[in-house]
Amino acid sequence: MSSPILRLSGVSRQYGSGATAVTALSGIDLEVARGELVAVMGASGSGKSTLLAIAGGLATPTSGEVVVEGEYLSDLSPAQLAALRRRSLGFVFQDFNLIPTLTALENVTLPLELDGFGGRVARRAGRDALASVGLGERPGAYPDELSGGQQQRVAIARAVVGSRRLILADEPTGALDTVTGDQVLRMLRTRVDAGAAAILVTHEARHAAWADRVVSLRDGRIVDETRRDAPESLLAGTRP
Amino acid sequence: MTPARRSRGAGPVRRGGDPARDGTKPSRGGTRAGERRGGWPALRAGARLAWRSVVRSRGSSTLVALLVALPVAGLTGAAVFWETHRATPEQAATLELGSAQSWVSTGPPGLQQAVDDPRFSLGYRNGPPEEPVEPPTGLPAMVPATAVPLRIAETGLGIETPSGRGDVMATIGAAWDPLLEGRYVPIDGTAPAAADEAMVSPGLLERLDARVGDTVTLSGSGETFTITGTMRRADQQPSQETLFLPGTGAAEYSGPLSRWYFADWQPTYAQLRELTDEGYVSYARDLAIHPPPDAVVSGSDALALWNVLVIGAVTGVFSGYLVVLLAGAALAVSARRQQRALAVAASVGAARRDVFRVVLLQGAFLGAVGAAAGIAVGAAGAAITNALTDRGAVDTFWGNWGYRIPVALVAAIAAFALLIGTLAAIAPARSATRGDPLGALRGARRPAKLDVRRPVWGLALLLCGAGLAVAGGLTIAALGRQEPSEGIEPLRVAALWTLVLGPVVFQVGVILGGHWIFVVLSRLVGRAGHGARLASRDAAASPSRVVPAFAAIAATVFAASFVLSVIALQAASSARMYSYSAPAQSIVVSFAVPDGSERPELTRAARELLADAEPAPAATALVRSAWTPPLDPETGRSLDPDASRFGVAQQPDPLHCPVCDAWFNALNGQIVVVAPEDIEAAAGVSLGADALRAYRDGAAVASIGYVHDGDVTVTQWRAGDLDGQAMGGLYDGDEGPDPTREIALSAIDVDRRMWWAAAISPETADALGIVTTPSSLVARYETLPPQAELDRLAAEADRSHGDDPAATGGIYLHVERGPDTGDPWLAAILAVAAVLVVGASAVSLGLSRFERRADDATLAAVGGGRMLRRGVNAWQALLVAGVGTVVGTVAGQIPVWGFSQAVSYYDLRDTPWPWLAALALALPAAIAVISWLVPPRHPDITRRTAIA
Repeated sequence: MSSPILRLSGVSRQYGSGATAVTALSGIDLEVARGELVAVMGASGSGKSTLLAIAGGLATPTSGEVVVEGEYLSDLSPAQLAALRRRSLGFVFQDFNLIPTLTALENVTLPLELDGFGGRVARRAGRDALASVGLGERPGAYPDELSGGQQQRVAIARAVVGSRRLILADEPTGALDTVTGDQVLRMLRTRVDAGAAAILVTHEARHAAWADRVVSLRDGRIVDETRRDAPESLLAGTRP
Repeated sequence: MTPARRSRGAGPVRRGGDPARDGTKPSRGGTRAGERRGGWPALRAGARLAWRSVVRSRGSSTLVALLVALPVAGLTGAAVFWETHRATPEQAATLELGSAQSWVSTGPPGLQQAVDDPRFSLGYRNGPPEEPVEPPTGLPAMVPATAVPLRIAETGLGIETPSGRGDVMATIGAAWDPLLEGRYVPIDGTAPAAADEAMVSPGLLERLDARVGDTVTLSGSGETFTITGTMRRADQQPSQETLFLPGTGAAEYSGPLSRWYFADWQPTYAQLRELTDEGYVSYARDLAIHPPPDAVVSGSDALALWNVLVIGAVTGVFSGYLVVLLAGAALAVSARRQQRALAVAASVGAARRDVFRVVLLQGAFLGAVGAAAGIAVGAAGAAITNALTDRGAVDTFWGNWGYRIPVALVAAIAAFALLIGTLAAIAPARSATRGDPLGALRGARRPAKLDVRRPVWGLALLLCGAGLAVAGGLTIAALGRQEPSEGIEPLRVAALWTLVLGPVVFQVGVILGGHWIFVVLSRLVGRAGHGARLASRDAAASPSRVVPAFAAIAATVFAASFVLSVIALQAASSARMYSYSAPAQSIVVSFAVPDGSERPELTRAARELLADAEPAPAATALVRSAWTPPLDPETGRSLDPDASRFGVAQQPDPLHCPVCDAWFNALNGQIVVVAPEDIEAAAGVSLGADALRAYRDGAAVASIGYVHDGDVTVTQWRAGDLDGQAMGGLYDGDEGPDPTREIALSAIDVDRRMWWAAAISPETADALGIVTTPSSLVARYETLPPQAELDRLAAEADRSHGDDPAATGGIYLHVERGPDTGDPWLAAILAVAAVLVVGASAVSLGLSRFERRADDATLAAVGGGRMLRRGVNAWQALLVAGVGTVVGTVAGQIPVWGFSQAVSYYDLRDTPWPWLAALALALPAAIAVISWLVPPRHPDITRRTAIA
């Protein structure tokens, strides 16, 4: 196995203190390698989204270490964390979270422009990313002019534009119909197969079937971890 | 494998080259994290996001731009109007000279004059002359013989009018000469061609009820002139009454303003100095337009510019402060609506500074939009105002020099707009960077928490500000009891500064402690029902929306409270010091009798005049005054030194009598004699039966300041003892003459300032041996007749004068309206404050209604009716506006108290409590009622936020 792009070691996250303390994550150890799609499953409140936010530097763990492409996130300043999100990882959300006032192309190029790439370079990279998700013909469309599936494809293009290799997807199909959801997952799979790494947070086992590995969370702890190629895996041979 | 841990700050490295390249390993020599290839692309992306957000949030963007545009429009309009009314040096020279090159006039020899304004003098160049020097009468010798002067004089003349005789301004000389075109403006007709022809201004033509071709007659000499046309001076309105006569006849070149205009000659600066030494002043075109470096200039232009800048800066700072607060609230609401977009930007790598910049740029953009709109409106408004006020009188309010935009000032105003727009966005931008991006991405909406640091700082600053003002006032009060000396003056200055600084600190405390105040209020009023609870908790949970409006209202009301009180105190002080000539709201017909003799026909004429008045007076009173022994006109001494003079002694009272230890004060009180049946009309007060009985029995109706221990002291003097005594100024009581008799009369104290010191009945006067003559007939009115009727009565009174009023005497009419109460000013200030408070409240309450839509929907979903939602709106109005007005009003009284310690004639009992109550209580109550009346929006209970 290649060196992990993402590594979480003993990550815990607690909200509040004393009697009102809530433990969202507890002692999470997780590695995601290049070319690997890891599905994280669990009931509501099990800590899935918190895990994703911590992995992306949007939240900080109470204890433990998060390493992205060799960088200890705890060592990074807020500006450095922002730079990490511009250069190394991308988020895909259930509600798409495209900026409504920017066109599809402008949404995709935003991380590059924030990172200082010139307009022409950023637009070329953005068009390539949009083309890779099948939206090369509609760069000037605003989010409200796109269907849900198209918006999510724009979000995936934004997550992978440039040289980023870690995709953190938080229920990306939650707001989509089945067919569109499958298209999005296929796209995600394609990007991973091309060399990226991804975490897919999902409720549905059917979606988890796209993953190489499934991690189950309950009450903030990893209670199960199954590899596709493991003999006991229920997912073996089930990829759609 | 565990990666080698890097020290903090080294950060992730970026890859160079093509962003689309799927690099396998970071190159360690790249740009450090947080550093970028260049700032421009990020700035451009931020600017794009900011502008699109501005466009998308039309409501709040319009509000912010409007808030910025309002002061910008006002300042721009004022600047353009001022610039339009300011003459350039060339225009000023034309107004002075027409097309002439110079004028020369006479003046005190040796005075230094300013080259651009001969009326402005720096005093004598070599000190004042020891002996009075008569100014020259002829042309200066240095004027070449070839220079032909055109002489013009301006003076006053009497003319015959349809209603009698009138005084008008007259210009003597050929003012219609083309040489003076620009100083004088021909309007109609032709220039006089003969010595018996004249021109008049349109206003005089109207007064004469004449037309071109009619005549005008001088009342003194009887000379008659045929009117050939109308004209005016360029800086006078056509309605002003001026007679333009040729320079011949009795009125030739009399009067103080006599000038020689030269078409082809003007002095050099050296010659000008010679002229001033000889007793001339001169205005020379070249010297005025291009003053030599060593020339004396008036500096009036620089002073005017400085005044404009100071007034503009003060207005700008205050209005800018209000706009920053209110626009900041609107931007905060707008930024909260964008928190999800900003969180998305953060999730794709926008650093805090990027997010900060996006919101800040929105403020800057809206500042720019507000600047553009405000400048356009202000410039247009100035043009409209110019058109409405243009009556042709250049160099005055009623005329302008042509539309001009002061580019530098307007550029400064635009920069000011950009600045306040940006400043307004700072707090929302800072708040946006502190948000929880994860929560925002999930669509969470959480109430603000009380930051415990701010109440401490806010309360500390509130107390500190109030304390500074109080300390300043106490210090001034303490210094006021000491003799001024050089040693303590810096302390006095410092104390005055603390009086100014204290309220500023207080305002900062209001901003920082505002959130805490609303949290406390929410606990206090939360039990007053659902409406109060919901409104107060929403206010406490939305400090970025509520506190700025509260602070803006508090600042506005603070200023209004302060100014209202100072004006009221000043007006009351002026009223105390006011010298009445009769009771307020009365007409006085006074009798001028040169020899002091009894003239019954004057009294009869006065009664007939008032009997003819429409409406008739409520009552009249004949007033007699103590006879004053006549003086020898040559020696100034009493013709009969043993004759008696009577006065009333003023009592020691610092508030009413600053200098009361002098003989003079024992004499100067005026004593009048009024019949008991007339005394109430003469006094302007109702005295009551007991007082009238006492009056008949010998008591005196006394003015405040003349009563001591229930008595009035009438003083009798020998006229000869007063000869040669200087009247007025400071006196040493030991050096003056003594009265021959002091008579104590029982005082009827009406506790107000009267127009006399003491009034006594004729019987009392006889008993005291006071000889009296009728001095006036007073007519009391509840409401004075209209001005036209007053003018008619005055003209009737004037007709009673003989050919030589100084010798024959007559009746004169004047109106006593009483002192200015200051009420119009108080009303105007209250109105301005009300507009600002209502505006600030509207902004806050409008934003509140907008932000509470989801809560309204929830409220409706759980059964809350319209009355409840109206109640919420009213309570919120009451809280935001009421707390602001109460805090502002109370705070405004602190410096008033301080200044009252510094100014001896300010009496805090004159504080305008009803006006302050209107400001502090009635105004927010009215706003709350209006807010209750404005129907709440129809709740959209299908909104996901409402039912989530």
